[in-house]
This record gives sequence, C-alpha cells and structure tokens, in this order.
Amino acid sequence: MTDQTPILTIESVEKSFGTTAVLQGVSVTLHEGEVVALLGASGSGKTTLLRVAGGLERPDAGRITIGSSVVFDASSAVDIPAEGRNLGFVFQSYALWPHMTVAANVGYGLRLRGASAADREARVLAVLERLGLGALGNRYPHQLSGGQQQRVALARAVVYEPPIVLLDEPLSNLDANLREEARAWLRELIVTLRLSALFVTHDQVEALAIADRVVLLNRGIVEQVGTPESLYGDPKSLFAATFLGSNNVFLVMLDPTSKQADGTAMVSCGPHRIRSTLQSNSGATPASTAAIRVERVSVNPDLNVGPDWTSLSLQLRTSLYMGERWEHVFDLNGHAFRAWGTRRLEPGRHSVHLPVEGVWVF
Amino acid sequence: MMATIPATLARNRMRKLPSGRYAVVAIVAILVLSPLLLIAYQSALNGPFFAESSRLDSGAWQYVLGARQFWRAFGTSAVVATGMVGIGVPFGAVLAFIMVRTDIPGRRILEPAVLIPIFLSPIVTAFGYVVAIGPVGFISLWVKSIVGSVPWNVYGLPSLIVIAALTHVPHTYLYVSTALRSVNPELEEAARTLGAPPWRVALDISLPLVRPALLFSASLTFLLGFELFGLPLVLGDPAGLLVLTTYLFKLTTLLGVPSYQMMAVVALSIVVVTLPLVIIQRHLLGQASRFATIRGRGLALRPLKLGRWRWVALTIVMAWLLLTVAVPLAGILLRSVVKGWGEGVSLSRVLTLDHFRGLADYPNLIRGIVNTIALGVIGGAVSVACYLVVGLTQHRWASRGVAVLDFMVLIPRAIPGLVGGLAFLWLILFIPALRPLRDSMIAVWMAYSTVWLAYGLRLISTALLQVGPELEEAAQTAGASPMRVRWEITIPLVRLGLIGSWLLIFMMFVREYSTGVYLFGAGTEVIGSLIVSLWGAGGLDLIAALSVVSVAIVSVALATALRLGVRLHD
Ligand SMILES: Nc1ncnc2c1ncn2[C@@H]1O[C@H](COP(=O)(O)OP(=O)(O)O)[C@@H](O)[C@H]1O
Ligand SMILES: [Mg+2]
Repeated sequence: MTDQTPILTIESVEKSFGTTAVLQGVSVTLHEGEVVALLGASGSGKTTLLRVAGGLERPDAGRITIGSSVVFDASSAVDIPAEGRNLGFVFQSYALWPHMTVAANVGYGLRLRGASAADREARVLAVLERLGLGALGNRYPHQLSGGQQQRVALARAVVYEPPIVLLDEPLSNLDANLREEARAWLRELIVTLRLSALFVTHDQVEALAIADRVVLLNRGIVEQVGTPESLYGDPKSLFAATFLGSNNVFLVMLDPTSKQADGTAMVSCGPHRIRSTLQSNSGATPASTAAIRVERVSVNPDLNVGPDWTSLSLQLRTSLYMGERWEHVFDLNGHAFRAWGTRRLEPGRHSVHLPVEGVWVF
Repeated sequence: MMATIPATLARNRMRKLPSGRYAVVAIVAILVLSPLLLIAYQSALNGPFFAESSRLDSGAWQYVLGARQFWRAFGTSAVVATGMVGIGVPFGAVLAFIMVRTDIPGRRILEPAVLIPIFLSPIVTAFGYVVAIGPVGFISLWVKSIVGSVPWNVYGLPSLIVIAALTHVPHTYLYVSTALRSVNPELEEAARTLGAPPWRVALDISLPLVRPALLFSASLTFLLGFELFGLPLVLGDPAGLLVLTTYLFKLTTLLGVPSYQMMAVVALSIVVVTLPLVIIQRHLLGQASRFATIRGRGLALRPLKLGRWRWVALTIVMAWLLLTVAVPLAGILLRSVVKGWGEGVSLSRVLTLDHFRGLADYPNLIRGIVNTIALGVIGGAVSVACYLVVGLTQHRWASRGVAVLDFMVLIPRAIPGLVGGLAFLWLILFIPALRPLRDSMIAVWMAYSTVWLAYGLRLISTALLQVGPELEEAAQTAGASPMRVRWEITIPLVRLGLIGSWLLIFMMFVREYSTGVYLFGAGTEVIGSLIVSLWGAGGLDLIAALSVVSVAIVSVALATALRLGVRLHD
C-alpha cells in the first residue's frame, strides 16, 4: 500500500538543551502514504524530534529532507523556518486560537496561501464535514468538547493538503473510552486522506494499532524501528522487549556450549534449565537477562508440548481474577513469574510451559 | 480523649481580625472620599467653603461651563489624550512584541531601559526637551548651523502630543508585554507551521490575543493624557496652549482673584472624565484574564527568529530611547554645566559648576532636596507600611469589604496629582484639628500616599499573592492567631517584595511634583514643586542643577532596584 519514496528523512539529528542531550543522533524516514509512530517514554525526546522536523526547534547537528529539498543541514547552514516547510502540525495542546471561530482557525492556512474567500469557505466546510464537525464552523474553540477540539486541530493542519502531517500525542487529551474509538477513526482518516503522518505517542497500544511502522525512542536514541508486529514479536533489545506488552523478566546463566546454529541455547535459572532464543546476545557473556511475554506462558495441562517447549514445575504463589482471565503468580527461583489462564488453579505445584521462540535472552 | 480549643484562640480567630479589617476599610474610605466630597461641596458654593457668608449656588458651574477658555482647554486635553493613544499605544504594542517575542539583540539591557521614562519626572523631561530642542536648544542650534534653520518647534500642540505620546509608551509596553508573556507560545507556533511569517504571527495571533491589554493601555493612556500637567505647563503654556490641569493651575492668575468655587468646578470636571475611565479599566482588567492561556508546561519562551530584521527592530527601539530618554537627559545634563548657550558659543568657554554651587546659596533649594529625599525614604517606608496594612486587610478575606476597598482604591487613580494636592490643602483648612499640619511635610506625605495608593497597593498585593495559602494555613492549624500568622509567616515571606515596593514608591515620590504644587509652602518645598515655581520665574540655571539632582537620586534608586532584582513591573 505504501510505496517506498521517502518524503521526510531525518538523519543523525542531535539536540541539546543546555547540558542535557535530548536527541543523540536520531534518524527516521517517513515514506509517502505511510504512518509512522514515534513511541517512547515521557521525556525521551519525542516532542523535541517532532518540533525539530517542523522547524520549531533548531537541531545542533544532522540533516532533514522533505520531499527532494533539504530543509535543514547543519553542515551547510540551511535552515528553512517553520513557515517555509509546508507541513501540517497538530499540537498536543491543540493550540486552537481562542479569538477565532472554528472556521477561521481551520481556514487560516488557506488564507496565508492566498485562497479566495469562496474557495476557502468551500474547502473549510468540506474538511469540517469530513471530520464530523460540519455544523460547528461558527463556534469558538472553548465552546467545543475535547474530542471536537482535537478534530479541529487536525482539520486546521490538513485543510491545505500538506504532504506531511506531524501529530504530537494527538489522542492523549481524550477520555479513555473516547481514545479507543479515536484510534480506529484516526487511522482510517489518515489512510483515506492519503496522508503521510509522523505521530508521537507514549501509548504503545496506540502506536501498534495506528502505525505502519513504529520508531522506538529511548532517551534520545532510536532503539528499534519496524512494523508493529516485528517490534512486538521480535524485539532486538531488552528495552524494546520490556517497553511493550506484559513481561516476565528474570536473570539467567547462559551455557555457551549449548548454542545452536538456529540461535537457540540453554539457560539456567537456579535449578531450572530453559530452552531459549538468543536475541541481541552473542552468547559470550554467561550472565544474561531473559524475558517472556506473559501471554506466551501456558499453564494448560492439556497442551501438546513438543520438543520446542520447556516445561517447568513451579509452585503457585497466588492467583488473581482479572475478569476475562486469571493471572497466576508462580515462584521461579525466588522471583514472581506470571502466567495467564482461563481457569482457577489449585494451590501446589503446576507444570508451566514456555515455547523456545518466546523466551528471549539479551 | 477530647481536645479543647483554648478560648482565647477561638475568640481571636472569630472576631478580632474582621473588626480591624472594617476599621481599615473605613479609614481608606474617609481618606479617599473626603477630598473628593469637599471639592464637590465647594463647587456648589458661591464663596470659599471656610467663609461664613458662602451659600449654595450654581454660579460657579454656570460661569466655568460658559467660559470659552475652559472649553478650549477641555478640547486641547481631549486632543492631546487622543493623540497620545493614537501614537503611543500602537508603538507600545509593537515595542512589547519586539521585546517579548523576538530575538532582538541586547534584550537584557533594553528591557529595563525601556521603562526609564516611567521613572523620570515629567517636569524634568519637559525641561530637558526645552534645553535640547527648544528654540535655542543645543540640538536646535547644531541643526541650525547645518541646515540654516530649526525645522521644528518644541512649543505648541503637535510637539506636546508627540512628546507626551513617546514618554507614555512604557505604560502600554508594560501591560501588553505582561499579557504577551502569558500567551501560550504554541498558539504562535501553530500559525508558523501553517506558513505565517513573524509579522503575520504578530498581527493575526499575538496582538489580537492581548486585545484586552491593548484596550486597557488605550484607556490608561487616555486617562494619563487628561492628567498631564508638567509637559503642558512647560511645552504648552509659552505657546498660549492650556489643557485642563494647566487651566486649573492658572485660574487664579486668569481671574485675578483666587476663586475656590471655580477651581473646584474645573477640578471636578477633570474627575468626571477620568473616573469613568478608571471604572472601564477595572472591567477590562477582569477581561484580560479570559484569553490568558497557560504557558506550555514551564518551557522557556521560544523567541521568533527575526533574521535580518532584528537590526531593524533594534533600530526602532534605539531611536525611541534616543528621542525619549537620551535627548532630554543630555539636554539637562549639558545645561547644568554651562553658563549660557547661544549661536557660536564654544563649549569649553562656558563650562561651569556654578549652578550646583548656586544651589547652596538658596536655603529653600537645599531644603527642597533634603525634603524630597526624606519624603522618599521615610515617607515611602511609612506609605509602604500603610499599603501593607491595607493589602493584608484584603488578603484572603472573603467579604463584601474587599469589593468596597477595591472600589475605594480606584478613586485616587482618577484624581490628578494637582487636584489631589489641592483637595488635601482644602481639607487641612477645613478641619480645625488638621490645621497644624499646614506647612508640614506630613500634609505633603498624606497627599502623596493617597495619590499613589492604587499603585502601591498593587505592588503589595502582587507580593502577597506569591505566598502559598498552605504556608499560612499550616501556621493557623498549628494554633497561631490570624495576627500572628500575618506577623510571623506572611510578612517575613514578602520581605523582598516590600523592599522592592519601597524602592519603587521612593522613585515615584521623588518624581512626583504636581501633588505638591499647592501644598508647597515655606519649609515644605520638594524638588518638583521648586522647578515648577522656578519655571515661572525663569531660573533656568537652578532648574538644570535641580533636575540633574533629581535624575541622580532616581538613578541611584533604579540601579539599586535592578541590583536587588526588583521587578520593575508585575
Ligand atoms: N525548551 C526546552 N528547554 C529545556 N529542556 C527541554 C526543552 N524542551 C524539552 N526539554 C527537555 O528535553 C527532554 C525531552 O522532552 P520532550 O521532547 O518534550 O519529551 P517527550 O515529548 O518524549 O515527553 C525533557 O527532559 C525535557 O525536559
Ligand atoms: Mg511530549
């Protein structure tokens, strides 16, 4: 669906505020028609990166290209200001102008581009209708709900059909239940408007659900880039693994001699020996960390356990009823080890099964 | 186990403070209302209020309202005030945008510099213009030696309007810059990402967002235009141009006899214009908070990059500073060290320090300087203490008393210093118990304190607002009475704010002159009133020396304030 023409290229961008290095050589590429999510914890530099791309913040080093034109290059002192980059930018606070009506807010970009009043009116109305705001053009921003304000901010950024839209936490100010609806709505909208969008979020579900590709940012460094499935199913670092999903993380000793050609190896955790997959681990250092997604741990006694599985006999510490499932907490060498199941378990020891491709060693 | 509240604690909390608070409200009301009521009463008599024979009569009103000169002065005041708004407010707004929102070079130095005109005495500034660009001023003669004639006239309506407008630019700057600082920078950035260059951001987003502040500045400038006294006295009078205040001042001369009732009518007619303006301003100030959007999570302000235009911006600001501060100050400084000045006079021949030595020959001048400093230092401190009492009265008081106090405080703002001083003089004559105060500095101090009440109180309440309520509540829950909370928690916490207020009030008192004009007598002269009376007698040498002394005093205070990090505005 997305072709592979880069429309926004951020190369080795660095940015410090005083002595704190906020971006430490970040590279991100956005292709035409693609939705890329910048995912990271609060303070990891996501907003800064977006502002750098939008021309609101001047990076200390690096290069930024939009389409075929370089808009920033530290080495040749090119720096096109924000107003010259022809992007759409949606602020986390929405930044709607309180002294203008919704229609005036949305139409401002067209006014700057010299569109005639009639043309402007028609296009503003069209985009407002598309976003389900058709009747609200004459209202002022403070008369709208949070969800409506968010859509006005989006309308304002896309009405003049910029090639790229940058969105800073577009859904974070919405109520939890509204946010779940808005995910599907936003994804659908971006795709039908054929936008190329780079959006920032700290919510992993939002990133995985909306984006074609996810860029995982960790303290100003790109930790991993990939499709949502590859990021979730094949994390390349302990950080990437534990940032997403629910995980069991435990310390293991790696047996270097057991390393196989297919990248699997045996690790031990106390008395337990577990077949596992080496991720970013060369197998050279014995002391390692292992992680497994909680949903991949099986306590089903009827499971047909093949040679690719490790079965452990663990003591059940406690069980928590979560509504749609049970969470069982076992004891693995003195540490809590969680598994999900559909049934209540009796106290005592149980067989716990781990698939080899689910146990990652870093 | 049940704990019992000591009876004294409970009583303190419930009773003592409110009754004290109402007493403060009553005192302020008396202080503020009695001068105004006395003027109103006097305006309705046919003779002096203290004369037995005076009767209620509308003759004074009929006479003044029928006098062509009154209406001409009224019209001139309106034209001057309108011109000041027309020139000063747009310029002040642009100045504020440049200073707050752009990367103009040298902002650190420029920021305090643009406020200087506020602290300069208008009478000193006016005199400075006369000796710099008057008919035989330094700059005039220099220009004449190049182009053959002086292409301007410092006396008359056009120059009065321009000079008044330029010197009142800081008032607009203050309010607009404060408002601009509270605008969320993302609102401006949003416009930039949509393609707006800096000047469009200013016109379409920033300035409309601070519209209440602009309206407020316009009404404030208009008000100050009606209260103008020193500038029109020096720059208008020689051209036969009278505004309402100078008309009032000259009334006795014009009529040939002192006429209390006529003065009262003119004074009241000024207040009739200014009081509604003050009430409008209060309304606007309430509105101003409507658009104030919270700044983005404590992020530093990100100035707009002007690129090549930063030098244009710097030139605009520097040109204004040159015209408004440098020209008059250089004028008086130069005039104070030369014997005389005229065409073809060489500077080195006429240099002298005689004028400063001359000050010593006149005991009243020395006394004036001493009085000015004492009034600023001692009087200022006592005033700040009084303002603090009023401020603490309002502080965290949920009562109708606060609204009453708020309104009372407004009234002096509508009373020009000249009128305020006159009213206090009359009050002292009217109330036998106050008569001993006549010809004492206490009378001058009372008038100054009342005229500057609103200003001082704003300084105090700004400081008081910085105190977190939980700090006071913590002491209160620990059992401290409201009085002790104030004495041991609140006041120590606002210590720095009080020192800053003292410095600012000091500068205002040194700069003040029109309030003292009528209260000035043998022994109670101050620099400003001395200059006014010397101006009538043509003592240029002494005026120049006195002006330099006045500027020097204010400079020391200003430097101290900057050194201590006192905020020159809220
Ligand atoms: N203008 C600024 N001045 C100083 N520090 C800043 C500024 N903007 C961001 N930072 C710092 O940079 C870091 C990253 O901020 P940000 O990009 O907003 O993170 P995120 O959006 O991922 O939460 C934070 O530690 C923040 O405090
Ligand atoms: Mg952010």
